Amino acid sequence: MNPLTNLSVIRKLVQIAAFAFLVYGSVVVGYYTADKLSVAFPALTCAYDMRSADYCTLVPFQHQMAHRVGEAISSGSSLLMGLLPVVTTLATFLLLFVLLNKAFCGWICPLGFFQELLSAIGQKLGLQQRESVAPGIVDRLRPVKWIMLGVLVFGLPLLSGLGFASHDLVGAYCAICPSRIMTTLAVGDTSQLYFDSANPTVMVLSVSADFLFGAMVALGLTTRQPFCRICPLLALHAAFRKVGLARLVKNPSPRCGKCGLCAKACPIDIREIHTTEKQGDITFADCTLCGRCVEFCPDQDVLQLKYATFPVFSASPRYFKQRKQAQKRWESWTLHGWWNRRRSPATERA
Amino acid sequence: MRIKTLMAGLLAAACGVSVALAQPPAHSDAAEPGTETGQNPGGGHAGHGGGRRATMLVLANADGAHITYWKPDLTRQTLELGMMGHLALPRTGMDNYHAVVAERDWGNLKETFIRYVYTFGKPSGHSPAELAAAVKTELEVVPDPIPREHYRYMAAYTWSFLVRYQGQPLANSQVLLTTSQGSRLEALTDAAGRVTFRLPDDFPEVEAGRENNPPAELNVTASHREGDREFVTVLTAPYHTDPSHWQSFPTGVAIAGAGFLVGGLVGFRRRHDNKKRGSA
Repeated sequence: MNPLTNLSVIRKLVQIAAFAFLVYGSVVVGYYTADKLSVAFPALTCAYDMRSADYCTLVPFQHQMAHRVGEAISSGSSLLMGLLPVVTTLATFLLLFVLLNKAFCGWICPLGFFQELLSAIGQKLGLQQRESVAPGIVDRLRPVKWIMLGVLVFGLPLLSGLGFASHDLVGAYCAICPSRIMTTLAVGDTSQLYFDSANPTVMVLSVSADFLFGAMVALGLTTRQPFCRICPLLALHAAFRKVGLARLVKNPSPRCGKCGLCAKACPIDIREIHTTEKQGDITFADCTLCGRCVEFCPDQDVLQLKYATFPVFSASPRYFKQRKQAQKRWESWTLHGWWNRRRSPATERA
Repeated sequence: MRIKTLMAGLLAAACGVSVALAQPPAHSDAAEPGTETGQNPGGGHAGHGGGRRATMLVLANADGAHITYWKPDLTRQTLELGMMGHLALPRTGMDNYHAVVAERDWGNLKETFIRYVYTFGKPSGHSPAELAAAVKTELEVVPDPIPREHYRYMAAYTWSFLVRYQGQPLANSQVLLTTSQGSRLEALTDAAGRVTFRLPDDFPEVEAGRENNPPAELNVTASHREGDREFVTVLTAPYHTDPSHWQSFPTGVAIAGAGFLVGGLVGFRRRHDNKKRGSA
């Protein structure tokens, strides 16, 4: 298979470019916040990274909940004025989000790419699991992203602004976000990987952040996209996924019930791609629009990635065959296999 | 060159002209650049609300100084010094850095003091890079860069400054950095007029948490002689305690390592369960 016709290869190239631009892009756009692209970007591009091209939308949301909404309520001033910046941030986020929808996760997010990189390393080390995560665990994890969004991005910052919670909780989500540690380490800055002993609140936050980052790295070697499953940005995307122009579309076939390859290919283990009989837009709340389900669907046009009404990439038996072979070749090369191949001639000689 | 710079430093000290924040608000750094908008590399957080209050500076012994207030869009406003050297910075309605430039011309000597101040308002649509690039006086020390909007000068971190004369970089010029805690550093500018200092970690008593440590002041002084006219310029700015006093990188790595182990165990268990399921 020509790698340039392989959707996963194309996606990796886009991810590499997006990673380089978002993590190191201040060289292009400028150093200051005023220079950044939107300051409400729909992917985890970190404001703590001094070389980033933009800031994730969760940053202004947290600060505006605390300093605008919370303070407007507590001071008795106009709530409308307090909400105005939040609406502006939401509008900026939506302006960008409409263009790519949840593909910001699957194609653009630096942390998503980092986890895919870990997954590839895990696969080469023979650690990555082919099997999907058990449905029970997937179901239990699904609400976590909404809790993260509600509590850490909106709830605690608002309570902080109202004076009911510590001021250290204004950036509650940022304080535990693994993207903050990953992107700053990627630019050679170790200042975000720390244990903070200033007070119990920051102590708990810093321990949570470091522990979560370490756990994400280890889990990323064995399980696909461990953090994406609980990412609050995935939840925010889910809330607005119907307005996005990019979408996953299904035209169910009678063979769908027996196959299930699409669900196995899904990095977030959305088994409903396989079981749903819904016709049309099936962009699920957890979907990252990576397109792997479309790649591994063996039936013509059963699954499609569409942009507005235009099919961009459709399932086809021919592509499926080629893609399956390419995947087999990719998975066959592991460090373990390479080591065994190296050892076997010597053993034979002996 | 060295003597000239030392003289400039002494001159600045002798003239007693210094720009310093007067009576910091209750939230100690709410009126300072880089502290209002919250992201704190030190782990704490400064409030936006305080940053919306009017900013007050004090210029001691600044009689006769001409004060210009540069806005982010590079428009200017002349300010009058109030009683006891108090200088109230007017609300411009513009968000982002403004520059206060105090100049005093003695004929054969021109002194300039510059301070970049962050004030809140509507987005100005202008980058602080424009304000830094603008030629505000003959000789100036320009932060390279100004601490980003969510950032601040911190002790033990390395910062660069450009020395410009008539808008052009001044190479091989002696620059003096002094702090209100008594530290003193000197360095020469390179061919691009750039000088780099690692800010001294000279806070005498450090408590855990940035909000418990009020900022100190730093002055970066440069001088230049053109014919019989001497120019002395001072950039003033607040700087903060090094957060590594209460933040530990090795412990952070150890905790991340513990997370890695636990994550690894979970992954191992899943692998084990999958194998068991497979063999069954």
